[in-house]
Amino acid sequence: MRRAFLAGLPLLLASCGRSEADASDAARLPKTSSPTAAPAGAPSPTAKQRPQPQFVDFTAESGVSIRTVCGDPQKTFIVESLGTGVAFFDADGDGDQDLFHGNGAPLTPPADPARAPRPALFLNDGKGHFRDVASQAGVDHPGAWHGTTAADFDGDGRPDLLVTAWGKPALYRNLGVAGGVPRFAEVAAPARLDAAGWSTSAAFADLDRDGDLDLYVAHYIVFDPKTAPRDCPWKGMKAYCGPEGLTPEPDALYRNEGDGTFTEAKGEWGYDPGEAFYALGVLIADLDGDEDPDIYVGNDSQRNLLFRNVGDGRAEEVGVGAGVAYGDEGQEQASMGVDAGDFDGDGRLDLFVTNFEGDYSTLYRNDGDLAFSDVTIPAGLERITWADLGWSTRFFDYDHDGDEDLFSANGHVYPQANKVPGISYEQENELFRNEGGKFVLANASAGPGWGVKRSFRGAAVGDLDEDGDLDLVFTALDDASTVLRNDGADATPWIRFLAVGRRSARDGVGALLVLEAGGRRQSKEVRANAGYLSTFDARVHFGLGGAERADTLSVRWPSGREDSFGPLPARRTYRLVEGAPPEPIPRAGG
Amino acid sequence: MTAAALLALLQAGPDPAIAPLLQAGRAALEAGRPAEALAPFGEAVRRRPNAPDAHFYLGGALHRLGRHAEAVAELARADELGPGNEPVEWALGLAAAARGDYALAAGAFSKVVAKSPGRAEALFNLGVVQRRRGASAEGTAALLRAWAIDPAFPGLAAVLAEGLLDDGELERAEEVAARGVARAPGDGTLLFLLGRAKAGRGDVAGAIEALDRAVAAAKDPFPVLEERSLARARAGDLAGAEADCRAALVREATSAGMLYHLGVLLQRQGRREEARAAFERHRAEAPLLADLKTNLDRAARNPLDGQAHSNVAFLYLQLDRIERAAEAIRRAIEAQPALGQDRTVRGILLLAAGKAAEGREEFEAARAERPDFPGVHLGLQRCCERLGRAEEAAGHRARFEALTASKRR
Repeated sequence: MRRAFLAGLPLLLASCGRSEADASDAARLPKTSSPTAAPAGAPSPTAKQRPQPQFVDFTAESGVSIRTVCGDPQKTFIVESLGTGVAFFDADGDGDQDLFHGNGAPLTPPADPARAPRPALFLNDGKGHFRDVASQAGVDHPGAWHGTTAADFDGDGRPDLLVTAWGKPALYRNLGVAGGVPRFAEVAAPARLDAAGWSTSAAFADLDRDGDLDLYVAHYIVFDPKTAPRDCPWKGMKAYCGPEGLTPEPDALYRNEGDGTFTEAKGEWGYDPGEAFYALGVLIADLDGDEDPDIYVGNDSQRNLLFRNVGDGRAEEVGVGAGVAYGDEGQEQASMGVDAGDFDGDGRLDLFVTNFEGDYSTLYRNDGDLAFSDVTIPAGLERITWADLGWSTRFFDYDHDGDEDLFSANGHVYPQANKVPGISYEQENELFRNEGGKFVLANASAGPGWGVKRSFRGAAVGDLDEDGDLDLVFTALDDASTVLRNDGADATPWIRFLAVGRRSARDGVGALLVLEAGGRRQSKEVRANAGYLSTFDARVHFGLGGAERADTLSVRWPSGREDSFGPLPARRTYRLVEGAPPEPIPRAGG
Repeated sequence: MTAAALLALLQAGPDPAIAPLLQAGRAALEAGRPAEALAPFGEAVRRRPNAPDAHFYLGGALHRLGRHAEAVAELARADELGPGNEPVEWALGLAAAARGDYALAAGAFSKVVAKSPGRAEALFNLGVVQRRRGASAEGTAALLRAWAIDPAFPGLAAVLAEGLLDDGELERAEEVAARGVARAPGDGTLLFLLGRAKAGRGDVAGAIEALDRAVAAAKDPFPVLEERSLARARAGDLAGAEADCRAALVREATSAGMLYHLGVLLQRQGRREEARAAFERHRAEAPLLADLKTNLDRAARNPLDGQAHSNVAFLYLQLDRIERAAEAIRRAIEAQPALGQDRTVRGILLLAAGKAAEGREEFEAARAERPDFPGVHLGLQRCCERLGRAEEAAGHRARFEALTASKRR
């Protein structure tokens, strides 16, 4: 936002203009926390009476013991600041959520390659206890890895894994289990996904609705440390340079050819906006309700993009016209993580985008017909997101009251932030509880796990211990990851669905589930790739408030097929095969 | 040049060979006739080219006449010939700042501050030029030192509050602005800064109150209206925010942020079609406006950057804001006098003076020299539009589009 102001200089220093305020110097707002339930909009009596779930730090007990390395802690270059993601997926097909955890690399490779940092693949025993099998599984290659994107790209019923990087990405095809361990083959080159560059978040979806998953890969910067500038000013100190001033790298869009290979289709399908951006977050969701997936891209320090799917995979970029390109002052925001969810219960998917410190993370309400309103301020999210720098995020119903809450993984990019009053490099993650369409900061009332401070980056949500509520895993820059177990939400009824496509893509990505329970209607899509660099539990999880059953469930599949069912008893996970009635799945690890 | 500075140099005692000349020049200066002082001072320099006081006086007279580049050259020579002289350093700082050479000005004022650390006006000037050359931390530090010495120094509260706002020091900015307002309750600038600080700290009601007073007091309410629109939107007063936003856009149609903000306000009020129109206008104009902002920022950082001013001029020409284009062209010529000979430049000035026919002749002459220069066709388009030659105008527009197609996003 330009706020031109010409200060007339007294004395003889006349006729000089004011320098523009830098976006990062924008005014900060103090953060207020809601220790219990003191929101701007009064909470419903039900929410008041219901005991709040408590998140406890379960990291040590879980066995998720990995410490990331992302360059050097001093952060000389921007490439050291992005961190890595985490992916929830059922790698071994036993019904519970395993974890793939990315890792980075030091600027100077260690003399002994065996000492290089490596990613981890944690297999779940069904109760939230993990063991690392990355080496046996063949996914432990060292590299400057970033995004962790799980999806069944070849439709064989086993989730595969795309890992983005500064360098060449890796595509790990899941070959199935042998000796109790899932085995993967790295197939990026034969799949034609091995172009070198700097890829960040990625998302799979069936863009042309031909029954297989196409792929959008966000790219960041054309970067070479040999020529990259150093020591740029930030708040009177020297910090790494970028992204501004560096060359953005164009994103990539690939059509799945159905034979294990991909073809770049960005130009052919209309996903080329004519210029490159510093892309960090990508989300694929049906934002205009016309039954095909659209793509929203969160860009760092530039406008964000919305590609409307006009059919057969073809698209046009409509971000500005839809009102989702900038903040409410028309300012470019430094966007990181993105997700979509129906926070106001009107059946339309709204957008949430995490942004830089000294700016708010933006909530765009979907008003229909591809028109969005920036409702960050009336929804109460401006002040509580202002001081933090957000990364991964997700709409999720952590307290099972039947509406979409939010979390934001937080951490600054500059270690120098610790020298600035009111800012810190290590930050607390945030939990935002939805109180009738307004959000309140729930950290203080949601358990001690939210008090952990690190420079967090990737994060994902899923039921780690198969107890029926949603837990979280956060990755941190040059630090140990954090696992937060949700204790107590399972006391409130819930229900969830594992989608299996037949004519639609195998893992049902893009299917829309509309559920009615207790007089409330909820809408959610099957979507695992979102947030920042991360993949979420692909099972669609509904909190039911006080209802012990879902009265109805209707499913709109990407193939166009629509199914309806109900009633369905609560506190169960159902396998939802396209065209077949839901079947309860026995509890994993039980 | 202040009288005190002149007197200080006189105390050193001039060379007798040029003393009468300097005396005559000083008399003209003191009588408020700097143009008449040029001849005796110039003659003194000719007779004694190594006399620092001759260069000093000549530089002072040139500065008074607004010939800043020549003034800087004379004063820099005086500083070189007689280093360590505080009045010379002071005068050099002022002339360099007036010319837009903030690095040179900062160096000169730093020397003054080193000699007179308790001189608030020197710290003030140092702070101002440091911030303008992008050294915000150093600038704010100097201003804070000036504030500690003399918080009532004219203009200091506003400059310091603005610097603190830019640095994100909202609490201190509010404190400084509030103290300034207490001293000068009708100062629109200070009220505006107070409103910005309060808005930044989340005191939306307090911000609106201060901005209401600023709108009433400000000579140019455009930035205040922008700020109040944002504050009113935050307070949920969408109609009020829209009114301010529209008023700001009338005054400054090239504010991309306000254009988008208008779309947001309309969308939030459920006026979807109007919102869509505002967003679409933003979408169409944003690349041009972004280029304009980049070049305006570049020119503000370095007023000697003739290319930046020239770019601004042609961008305004694209937006059909001829007056602004001419203003930018005049600044470009000030920075690079040779530009005054460029026929497209002369064409813009004639166009702005309402002489479209003469302007067209200049552009046509320029076209003969550079047929593929897009600015020529842009200028011809604007001239032809004003001369009622719609078809010709369209042809030139098409040529302009074709020549710039590969550069457009």
